[in-house]
Amino acid sequence: MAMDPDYAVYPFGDAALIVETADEISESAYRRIRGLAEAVAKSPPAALIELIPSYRSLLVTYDSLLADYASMEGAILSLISRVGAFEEPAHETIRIPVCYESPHCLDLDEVARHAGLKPEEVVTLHSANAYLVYMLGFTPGFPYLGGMSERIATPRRLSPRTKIPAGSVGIADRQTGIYPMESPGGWNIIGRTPLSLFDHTREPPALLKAGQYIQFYPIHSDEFDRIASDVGRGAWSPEIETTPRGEV
Amino acid sequence: MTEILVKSPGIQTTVQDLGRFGYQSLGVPPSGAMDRDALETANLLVGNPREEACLECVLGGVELECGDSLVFAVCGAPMELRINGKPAPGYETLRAKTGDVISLGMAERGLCAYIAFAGGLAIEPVLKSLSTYSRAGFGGWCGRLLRAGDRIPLREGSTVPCDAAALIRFVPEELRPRYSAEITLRAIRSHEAARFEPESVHCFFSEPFNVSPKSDRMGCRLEGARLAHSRGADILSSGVQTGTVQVPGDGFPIILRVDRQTTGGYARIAHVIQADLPKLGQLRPGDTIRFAETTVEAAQEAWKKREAAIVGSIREKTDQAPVGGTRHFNVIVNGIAYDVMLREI
Repeated sequence: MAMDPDYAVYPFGDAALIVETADEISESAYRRIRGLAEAVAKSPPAALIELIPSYRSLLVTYDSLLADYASMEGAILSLISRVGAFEEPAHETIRIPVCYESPHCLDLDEVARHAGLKPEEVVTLHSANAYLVYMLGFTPGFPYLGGMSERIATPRRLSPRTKIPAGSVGIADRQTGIYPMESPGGWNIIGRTPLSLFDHTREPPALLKAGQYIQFYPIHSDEFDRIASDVGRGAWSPEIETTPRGEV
Repeated sequence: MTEILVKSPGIQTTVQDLGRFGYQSLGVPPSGAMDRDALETANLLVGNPREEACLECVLGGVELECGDSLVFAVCGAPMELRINGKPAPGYETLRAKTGDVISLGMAERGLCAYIAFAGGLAIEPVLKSLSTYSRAGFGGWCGRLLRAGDRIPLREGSTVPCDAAALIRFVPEELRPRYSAEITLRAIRSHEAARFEPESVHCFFSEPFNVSPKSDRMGCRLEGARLAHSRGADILSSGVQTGTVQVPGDGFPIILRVDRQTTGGYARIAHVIQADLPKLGQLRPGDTIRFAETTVEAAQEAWKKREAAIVGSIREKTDQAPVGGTRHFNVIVNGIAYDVMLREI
């Protein structure tokens, strides 16, 4: 293990190493991980296979026939010593339409009851501010979002549903997220977006990427149907607002 | 075009190569062969590049009809291999003619067998790989398990070259893997081992565990001693590797396999080393495993040896025509190629 005031490096099996920073979900931890990931991607060691960034860690996988642990750790430590403050690119906010109405809002009443709010107040709170995409993981294209109002935090359902439609927007404790594909799950479903978060025939296949912000906005169910059919024909893409760096 | 007709897909047969890399940061798992040693060996036996896609047959029960004459090999878990009902050897280059039926019985031990076809499968890659990720429905053959009636095309030039004498390769019995119901996996302690009670870490590296029936290509779930966390089971979701051993709140370890998620939220106690991942892939419900602690350095050394061992295990039969056997010659007369077969009488 090697220490830096901000980063610690450890072996992660015999074909990867992991760089960790403060054990918290915070934009500062996120910036350190992103900054390092950018630096490694810019001058990749020859043995590098893949970078998997998450809230507070960067998993670096490598070909151990090309580099042993010591040399890989050395390469990463040297990048760490040179990594400056993460230069955040222009700030992108993707506007995501969400229908918070029946039949898509399976658990909206439950979330409202738990929060002691009216369903429409839950919708207002959920779509009020932009969420940072900290990472993608869990299933292809699934965004881990930060920044949801704690007033609508709701525990996971006691018994998970066996089938949640693709595009469903849910709440689990203090997290909110979108299911990219039909899957089982225990999140409280409050709405659904007609957008496709992951399509293996697209390049890039994921709609979102780590570091972007997303802003939900409510739509009615007829609009949901219209956008869904446009998305199906490849004739609809979300609005992206770009804010120059420093004006966030 | 040469093709393979699936008469019976067996329990779970998919197209797999060495996996899909470069998309894990988008949440796309690597997938790929559970036992890459067997996949690479099968490819070498038919003269393919080592990383070529094969059919991965889990537990067996497969029946395939050849749409043309072709060369193939089967490696991995021992399943009764037959051509038109006649027993045929695994770990050896084999030939089949148009209409021949290749069948695999049920695995006696181990889990997965790999069928490599000379020339490879004519399937378009998805995100740079032929591996099937059936949960998301992409990759391999239509993103799913093979079904009866599927016709899998082989690449142009897959029909049998006639210089068969040069083609017969095999792996000697003593160099083939043994699949046992009791195995040891070498593992490296995780930096998160400190999140477990010291007795539990000791227990992990000394007690036997049983493979649960709930295991699949995503993970190998273990039953046995319950491991105790010292600071809770949950961590902030963080990247994982195939072979990573994570322990959820119930205390029962899960060894992640190739279809695993790209990130996980449970504390990790150890990582199975690369050289032992094929053994992990061959574990079936009811098998017993123990973990032997090793170091990163020893593990990387073992991986280097494995590289050499795979290629070194292949032998050729060219100069020794089997007694009572046949030899094929590629003869060209007036510009037309003929396959001449000589049978010893």
